[in-house]
Amino acid sequence: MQKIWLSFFAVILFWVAPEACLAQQQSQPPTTRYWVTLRDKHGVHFEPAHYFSAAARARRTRQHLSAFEATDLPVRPDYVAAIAKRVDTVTLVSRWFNAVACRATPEQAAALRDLPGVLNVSVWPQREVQAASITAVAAGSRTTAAPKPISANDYLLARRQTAHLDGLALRAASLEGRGMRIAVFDVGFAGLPEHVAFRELMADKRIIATHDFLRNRDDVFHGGSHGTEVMGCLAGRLPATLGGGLGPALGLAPAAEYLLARTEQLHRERYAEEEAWLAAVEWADRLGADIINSSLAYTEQRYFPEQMDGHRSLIARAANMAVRKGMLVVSAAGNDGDNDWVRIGTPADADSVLAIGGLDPETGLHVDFSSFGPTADRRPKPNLAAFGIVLTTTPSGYERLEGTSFSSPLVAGFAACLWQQRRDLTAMQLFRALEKSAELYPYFDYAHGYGRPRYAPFTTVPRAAAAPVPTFDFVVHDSLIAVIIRTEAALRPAEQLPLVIEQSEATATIAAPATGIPAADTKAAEQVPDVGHEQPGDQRPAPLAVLPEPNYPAYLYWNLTDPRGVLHRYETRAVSQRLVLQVPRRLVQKGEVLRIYFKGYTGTYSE
Amino acid sequence: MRYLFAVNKLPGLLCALLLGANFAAWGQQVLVQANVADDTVKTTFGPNRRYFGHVYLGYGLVAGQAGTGAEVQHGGASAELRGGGRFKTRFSQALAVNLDLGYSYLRYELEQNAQKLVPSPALHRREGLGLHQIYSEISLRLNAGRRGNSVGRYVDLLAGGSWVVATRHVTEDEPAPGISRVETTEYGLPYLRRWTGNVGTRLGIDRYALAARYRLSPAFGPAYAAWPELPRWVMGLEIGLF
Repeated sequence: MQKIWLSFFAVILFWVAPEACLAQQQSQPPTTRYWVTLRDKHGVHFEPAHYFSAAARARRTRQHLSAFEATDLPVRPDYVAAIAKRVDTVTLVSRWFNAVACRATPEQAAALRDLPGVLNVSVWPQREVQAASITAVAAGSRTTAAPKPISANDYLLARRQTAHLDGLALRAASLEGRGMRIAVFDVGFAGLPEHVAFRELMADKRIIATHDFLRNRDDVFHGGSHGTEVMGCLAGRLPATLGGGLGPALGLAPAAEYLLARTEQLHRERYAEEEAWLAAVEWADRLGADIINSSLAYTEQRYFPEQMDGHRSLIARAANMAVRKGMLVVSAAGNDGDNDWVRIGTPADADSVLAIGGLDPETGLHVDFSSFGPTADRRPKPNLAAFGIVLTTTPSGYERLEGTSFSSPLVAGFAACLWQQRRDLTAMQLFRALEKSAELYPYFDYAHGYGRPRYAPFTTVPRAAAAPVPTFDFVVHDSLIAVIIRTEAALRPAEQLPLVIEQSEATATIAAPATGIPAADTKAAEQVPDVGHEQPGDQRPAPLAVLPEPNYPAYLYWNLTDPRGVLHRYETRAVSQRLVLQVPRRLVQKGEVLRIYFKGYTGTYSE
Repeated sequence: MRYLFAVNKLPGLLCALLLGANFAAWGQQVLVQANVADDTVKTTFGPNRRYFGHVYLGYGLVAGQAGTGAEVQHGGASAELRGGGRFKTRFSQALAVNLDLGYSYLRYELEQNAQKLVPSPALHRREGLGLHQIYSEISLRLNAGRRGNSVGRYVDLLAGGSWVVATRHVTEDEPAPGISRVETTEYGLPYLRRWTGNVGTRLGIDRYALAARYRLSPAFGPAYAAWPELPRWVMGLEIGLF
């Protein structure tokens, strides 16, 4: 009997407090994680030219940022040493937050509070990470050893996921993210170096640096393949064509440089992960990352929906700080749209983070699992949207996967192309430009954001030179407002195929001339690859058979917005008759605004 | 937040205006629809909200020593299957109370040996006692660590009682030549106690839990106090369905 009790209590102890149990085994009191905020950085020596890489310095110069700021200064070593003396383990030293994360007993933590440089000591809570994109189907199929052949449907999807974001036009304008440095934070990149999709990336040595922040070593090609799947939507390619040329790209930034960081561990609760994300973002800043892609959403394992306000989580605050330092942070909105959580996760809730929702390739509309906005403090999210169902790379080949984890890298690749063209933009200017370029802008809703970003507004001849033509009218009755599609906008033009089409022609209507680089691209064109990164002239993908851009019917989007800009209600409708909507007038009183989008035109009605 | 696919076929401007329903424009297909107020309401029901409820299934093995003459076969032969509902009221991040109500079936497979006394010294090829029980438990939940809207890691200290709804005693004997099987089942056993009390503990992470229960009351009624006791422990796994 005693044996049973003893065994059971031993299990209890290990179950509830494994760290405590471990500590007891070592004859020490149990330790907890603490976050120690320090008071100042007086007297520290800092040499930005030594600390920052050339790329990081160049990024700051381009964006007219100071060479460094107080948050870049190192933490005072005497403070760190004093803390290290009094605690069990120091697990992170953060310059940005002037803080130290450590393991300590409550007594040690109390002693820390008395140190002269310590401003605050708080318990550093645990949380569990949830990769935003892993689906049961994907996880199950990952065990397949032999590469599966790509079906015609999947091949078509692969082409459409980039075509939907004007991939053809971007390639025609030589925009493939060349010269951009993208940091990808993920679970692990298993199988990436050997994968045929990344042959070009590896041959060109465009993975500039890697680091596993959980194990503090450089090998990131283990621990999970979610990062490999995400990378497929940035730099992956389909198998080479028969002529030996490069295969079609699965993402929009196959020519960019990459920093790969392992910050997360699947299916395990690890205290170190949040610190790892912060350490990784400081690392990416130092190494000159232009864009950070974080296809992870942190939700109910640690937070409540009402806490998704962009300030609560450490990574949301870290992401905002990264943007202030000139990096564009792109984050998946989350895959909780069809469960009880519903809302976006963090860091997508941060106001400076570009949160990307998912679209269904079949309809071009919100895909059911994509998380909805707004943030807890009613700020509009997500910002943009892209396909949430894609064909991407897995260690066993190529697979169709679902998740906003893949929407995020698609838009990150798009942003890299646009930033390649407009290197003069700051991160937030690019953020705003991407929003303004989007298909639905200025219309917005919490399912689609502003919709998919488009390339046309970035071309030398913007599409919006002329004011958009109204496509519908508001007809006001005694108690109703009717929305009626104009006759000319109600036509469904037939599509006539040309006799012969070339790829350049396919893009000419949207993009710049295919034979040359637009004037605005001069800087990008003048960029010479770094030594060791030269590429043969014929590395451009072989001409592709032109596929039509996804051709969806014209939908009508409408919402009701209160005077604070918060949406109360929104819908998307298929349009099958000209009288498309009637709204009671009582709903648009007291400052409420009815906003409608149809065929490129957004109209508003208020009383 | 739900998608609605609703098509109504009442065409015509006049008809629609006359009907005048909210947002209506008959003939239009709503593909995406949301009422933000509904989606963003703060709820009091959830895994780490003030109230939470769910059903669960459990399977446990009979464990521990039996009195001489009441030995049972351990392993899967003597086990308990239970299913029930749990209602949790949370007082703080670290403290909550659960109320459970459910049904369990407990079976003791009696060892057939020379010392056997329960329920009689007679030996059979196989022999078992089965108890259908309705149980109710109250448990104090101690949670470890901060968390969001999830159940998290916890220890439950539980106490409860069971009402034995039905009992049966099944014996299987050597068949006579030409008979494949001889099984005798007795129902409504007078020697098994109708009410039992137990204490225990449960430790879990989210939907999974290990549970151990110790029966405080004797298995047999007061008139059979001299009988050797059946094993008092049941230890096993519970899975919450939520």
